[in-house]
Amino acid sequence: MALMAYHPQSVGRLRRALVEAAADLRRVTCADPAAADAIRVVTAAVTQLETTWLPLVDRLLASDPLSGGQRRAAQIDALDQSLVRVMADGYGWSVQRDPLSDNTSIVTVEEARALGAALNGIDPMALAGDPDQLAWLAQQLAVIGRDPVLSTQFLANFHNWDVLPFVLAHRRADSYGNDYVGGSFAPDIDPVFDGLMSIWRTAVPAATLNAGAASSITDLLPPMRDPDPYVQALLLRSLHLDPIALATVANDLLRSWLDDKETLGGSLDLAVAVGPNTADLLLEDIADNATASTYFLSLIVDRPALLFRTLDDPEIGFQLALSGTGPAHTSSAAAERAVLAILGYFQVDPYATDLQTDGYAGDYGPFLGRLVAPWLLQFTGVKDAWTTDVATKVHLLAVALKDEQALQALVAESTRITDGFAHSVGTAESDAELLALSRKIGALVSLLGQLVVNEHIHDEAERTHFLWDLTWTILTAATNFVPGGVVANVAAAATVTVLQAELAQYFVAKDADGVRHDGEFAMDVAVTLTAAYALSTLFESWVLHGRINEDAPAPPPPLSADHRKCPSATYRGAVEEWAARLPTELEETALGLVESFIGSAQAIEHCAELSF
Amino acid sequence: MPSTGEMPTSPTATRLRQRAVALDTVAWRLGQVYAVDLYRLAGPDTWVGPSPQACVDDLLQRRAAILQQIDVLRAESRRFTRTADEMDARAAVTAGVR
Repeated sequence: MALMAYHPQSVGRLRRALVEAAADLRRVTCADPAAADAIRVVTAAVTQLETTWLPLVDRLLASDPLSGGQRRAAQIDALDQSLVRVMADGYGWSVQRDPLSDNTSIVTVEEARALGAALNGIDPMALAGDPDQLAWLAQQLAVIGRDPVLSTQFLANFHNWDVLPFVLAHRRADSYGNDYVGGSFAPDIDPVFDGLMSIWRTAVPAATLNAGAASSITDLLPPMRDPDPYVQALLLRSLHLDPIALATVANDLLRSWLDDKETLGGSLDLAVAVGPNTADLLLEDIADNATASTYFLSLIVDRPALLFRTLDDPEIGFQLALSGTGPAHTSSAAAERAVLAILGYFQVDPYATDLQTDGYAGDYGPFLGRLVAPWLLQFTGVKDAWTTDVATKVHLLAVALKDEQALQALVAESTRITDGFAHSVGTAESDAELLALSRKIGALVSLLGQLVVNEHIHDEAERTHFLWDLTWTILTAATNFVPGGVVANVAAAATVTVLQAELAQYFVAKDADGVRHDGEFAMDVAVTLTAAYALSTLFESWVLHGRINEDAPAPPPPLSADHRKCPSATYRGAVEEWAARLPTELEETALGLVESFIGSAQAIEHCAELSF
Repeated sequence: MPSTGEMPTSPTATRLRQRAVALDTVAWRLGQVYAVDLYRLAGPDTWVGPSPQACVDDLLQRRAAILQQIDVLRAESRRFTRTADEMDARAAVTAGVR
């Protein structure tokens, strides 16, 4: 049951006024039918005064007020009785039980003031451990935060920014214990932070909160003495800033946080080592927003550790990086800076060397595979690629593909690869554009193949498997952009099936001449099959578009029966022979296409290696 | 007998004008009732709590209802007066034709 506080003399005056008002209303009469509604309103008012409010006041005046002990027993110290306690303790009012319960959806100015004042003197530890009080408080704060007048009144009376957020944050962090997921007080405490900051937000100048404003942390938060970054992160998160502002302040906060962490170690984050830390709190929201992710990455390219050496949950960093480097949300130049900076960071396994890293030894291989997937073409030396020198790019791509999990992830990322190709090359609408696209794809296949051969030279079976899977994934993505598009792809499917079967036949046999030889052989087989697949697709496109007769001889098969010969050299000879029978224009296109894949310096190098 | 200069009026028009006066009187009277200002004594300077809040909310609601009825009564009064005037005007035109 709730309590009510009252000034007895004033209630006495109210009683007399109620009696007088009822009598006054009774004297209002009118028989005209046009006044019937008005008379009904008058009559209802009289009834309400005489049957509800006068009896309530009479009961109040006739009853003894609660004693101090009775007040405490009636929980006058509870947070939801703040206003009653303020009036009783501060102004000497009497207190009695109230037959009605409070309507928590309505907060008066007086209640907002009283709540602000009560939170200054409350036992924060007791509050932090009381889910019912926290729920009530969060609800009241939310109501106040929606009303600027109530917010102003609350803020004029609340001065406990140093203690209350700190204690609540500590309770939140502490509640994770050894269980990251369950048993947390976060669901009880976070709404209180949201409520407090919804109120504080009304006091922050609009210019500071404007979308895109690069505001500082001190501009955005209430004044606090030596705030812990974890508390600041909770408060900033609850401000629900626009993406750019959130990324800006997160960058600022995490830079100093990381600096402090290197000197202070475990004393940060309220000395709680388990559960989401400052970085998790801030970066989780950024990772959910592509714009914020892109902007945040642009801010930290000089120090990728801010993303990977801060988080307790490294998956948040991976998600943020993937979101922020997606072709749909960033430019090629911005992606170049971000992707290469991240790959540079992972040149040396940070989880193996840095015991200060918050998170577990995350499996970052798959992340790196997904990271480079949309930008594969940019790693080659062809036109329109990233401006960083080729040697550096190849070196960093090797970082991304240095473990098998990365390769597996890359192979599985056909959608991201396709998106990246669409972003980079568009659609080939002519033979000339097709050849340009083929040169890019050919250079990429050759580069990836070489990396796979070099990085996985120790495991032939895995190497050949990945090499083919990767080549296949890239080809599938690339053929979305050849003339004829999907129709041509469907027509070429049968050809591909044949190629796959031939490939399997080649790769079951192990070569006894050495691992390097096997690797180069696998590479040469892969680029030869790639060229054959591309040529078959082109041929089907010509047939579908009437550029060549249906009964024209199909391109030659890519692989000969002799496993010891250089497959690409054999195939190129067969293609030249086949193409000589084509019209001149088509002959040049066909040879140019094949040249893109097996005429490259790398392919020639493979054959040289195979000759030893 | 010399003319008074006043326009002749019908009994119906006269009745409408009497009703308009009655409605205006009730409206004026309602504007004076003590209940309209009662909420001032029932606010947080007197008492606080769920019941006091319900009381002041109710008094404010009833105040609003009374003020609304005042407007309704005055509008109805004006309509009666206007109708009476129109009736008299039509009667004058008819008399002139004869």
